[in-house]
Amino acid sequence: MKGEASEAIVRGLKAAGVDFVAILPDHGFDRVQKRVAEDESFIFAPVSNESVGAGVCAGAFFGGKTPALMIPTSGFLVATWPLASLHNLWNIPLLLLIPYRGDIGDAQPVMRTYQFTTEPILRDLQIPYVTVSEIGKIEGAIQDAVSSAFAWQNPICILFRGETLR
Amino acid sequence: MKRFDCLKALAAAVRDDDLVVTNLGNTMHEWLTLRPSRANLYNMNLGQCTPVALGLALALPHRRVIALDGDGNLLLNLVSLADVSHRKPSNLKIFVFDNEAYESPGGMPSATAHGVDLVQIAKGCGIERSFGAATVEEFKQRVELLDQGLLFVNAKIEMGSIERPPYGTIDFKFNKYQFATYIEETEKKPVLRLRSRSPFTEK
Repeated sequence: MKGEASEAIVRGLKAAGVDFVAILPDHGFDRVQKRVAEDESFIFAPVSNESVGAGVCAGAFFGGKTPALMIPTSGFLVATWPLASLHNLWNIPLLLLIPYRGDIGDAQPVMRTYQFTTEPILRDLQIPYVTVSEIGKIEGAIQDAVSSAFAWQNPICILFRGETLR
Repeated sequence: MKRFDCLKALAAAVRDDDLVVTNLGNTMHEWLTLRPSRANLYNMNLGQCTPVALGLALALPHRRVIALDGDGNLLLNLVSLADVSHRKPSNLKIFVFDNEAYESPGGMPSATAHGVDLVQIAKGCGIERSFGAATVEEFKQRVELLDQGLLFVNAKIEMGSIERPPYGTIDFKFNKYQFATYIEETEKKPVLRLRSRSPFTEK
């Protein structure tokens, strides 16, 4: 992910009131992770497994925080268990941020699988999502997603693609 | 050792404002019987009890957060102990009731019946105050450590539970609103935030 896009994500998180971020490192989010870890306006929860991250974010919500979970496309599959058994069942708000690997144009063969899993599983889990392809639209998308996540008491996902990843 | 006797000892030691996150099944029923409270978050499904308690502890560092986990539940997400240790919240207390079995679905032995030692795993993850308890007396000694930082206790218990109360089950969403509004009242800050500003209708 470009530095410019990483900065836009951090600005968007702050503007949306996000104050708790769980991250499992990913190539796409390495700069964001560093920025979030160093910024004291966020409670930073590094996790070793995306399903732990989803649970940690649920706990943070109950503690009055506005949580975001940043995970790789592949890791979204790992997080599906708590997203179904906890967030869906209890209606728990969450901002889910995923750099969308496996999108058309992604030259990594290993990412092909996620073209067939990511969006169908988001729909199956009843997680509304938007895709953001332009850096200039990142901040607004994050604010809209957080607003709807709490109003609807539901996770909302942003998939980053296009120039935001390159 | 019976879990109910351990929970009785714990219930006598918790403060009214202690936040308790429970495993689902028998632990939930027994804790609901002993300490019915809006400060309880029940029914955390497999692998989620300790992670949810960790998030709560990080969000509210001035409140004691107690996780009532089980061996099967914890084993599904054992790595959560590593993530607990990464941040080491001193207000988090993890109690695992280890009956060495998946009791609810029929009693098949869990890995702890075959030599897996959760105390050693917790210690290996860097949780220094990790202890076992094989008797109620030992368990009470561990409970006395509630105020001394991050704590992990693995209580070896026998299978079995109390008779379930007829109306002992709490609907997930009912529990969500009970707990969230309790936090709102006691922390004087919004949790649910059901009404967000709409960018479509408001500036």
